[in-house]
Amino acid sequence: MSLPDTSASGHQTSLPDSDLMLVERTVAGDQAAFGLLVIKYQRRIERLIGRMVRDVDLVEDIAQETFIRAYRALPKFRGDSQFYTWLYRIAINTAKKFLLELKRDPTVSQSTLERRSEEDETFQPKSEPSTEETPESVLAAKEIGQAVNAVLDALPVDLRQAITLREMDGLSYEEIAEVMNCPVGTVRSRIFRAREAVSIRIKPMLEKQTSKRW
Amino acid sequence: MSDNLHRDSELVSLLVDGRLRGAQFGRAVEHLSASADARQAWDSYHLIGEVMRSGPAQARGHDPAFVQRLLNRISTEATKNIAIDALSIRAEGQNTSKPRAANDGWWLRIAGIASVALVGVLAWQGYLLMDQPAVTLVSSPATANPATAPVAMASAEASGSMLRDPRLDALMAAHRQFGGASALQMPSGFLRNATFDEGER
Repeated sequence: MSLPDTSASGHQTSLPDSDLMLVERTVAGDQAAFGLLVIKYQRRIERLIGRMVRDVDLVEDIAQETFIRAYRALPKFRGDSQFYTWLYRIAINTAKKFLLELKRDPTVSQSTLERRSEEDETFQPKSEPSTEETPESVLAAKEIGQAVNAVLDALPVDLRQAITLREMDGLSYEEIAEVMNCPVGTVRSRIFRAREAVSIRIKPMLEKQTSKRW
Repeated sequence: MSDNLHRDSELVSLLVDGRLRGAQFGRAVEHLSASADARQAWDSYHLIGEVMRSGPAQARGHDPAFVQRLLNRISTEATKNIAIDALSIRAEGQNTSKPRAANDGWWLRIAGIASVALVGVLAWQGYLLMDQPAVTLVSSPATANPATAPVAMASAEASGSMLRDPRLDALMAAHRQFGGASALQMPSGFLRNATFDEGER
């Protein structure tokens, strides 16, 4: 299998949103494409719901319902907004509906909820532990996070710079190539190698975390 | 890592960054659908970005069981929808062979048109009648032909005029037995008066 040409000669300037392409593929009948969107956003959606609901059992139920509702409404998604923004709204509404039906009070006030709705996924609750957080899970997450940072710190400078420019600064491959004064193909390779180095390191930790869930 | 595996993983990395389209995009999605390792890489690559942006506190992998349960639910729902669609198609087919009901739209339109036509005919008849001098009101029977023209006579009891038609008078005189009181032994209005008047003339 040959990789796509993302070198300077095969400059990709107006790339479509990959989320939108996955949505289109799902609507066309490929449920596995939706599975990829779920994998990508499950963490963030559960974190979001965890800020509204303390009940551990409810978080997963609401997350499931959120994705089911999103799946049903996918044909209406036109890509006017980012997929996550759209999904975020569905999650908020689903959580509110659940709480209303169960006649439970949200753990946060409405004003706090609205304020948080305007924040992006980088919001981190400092005082409220997430619903899934047991001392063990907190420790496991911390270890994985530290491992990611440790591997990144240990990377060669060019790899670290490439992935930092991509993930932290959100630059495109072309922009990174310009900053680093190298071909786009080299940027592609550096970002992949950096990711792979971290991925190999955290893979056993993630598997351990998954097995402890159930 | 073998060359193929390396290329597959690099494809996943490119997909994470939205660098694929067309056939390459399709190939990457198919690869991810088929390989649990590829899905793990897909998750890890996103996780790395989240940790870099948000810090290490939220570093959790995705839950494969959650995804599987969700996809199972979706599959079940899709199967149900297919069954419901098939039923509705069959029901629609049956509807086309049904006879038209009286409250069917087609019949309602016909009834509406008929009503409008009836009103039109009545209006036209009314218009024609208004144009014709059907009744001539006269104060004295001497000025009109008593054999054919209707006569307006002032009633002694009533304040208004009463129309008298000589032909009606003749008819009632010939059928006197039908006049008089009604079966309820109550005055029968015009007919009774006409009968009595006939006797006095």
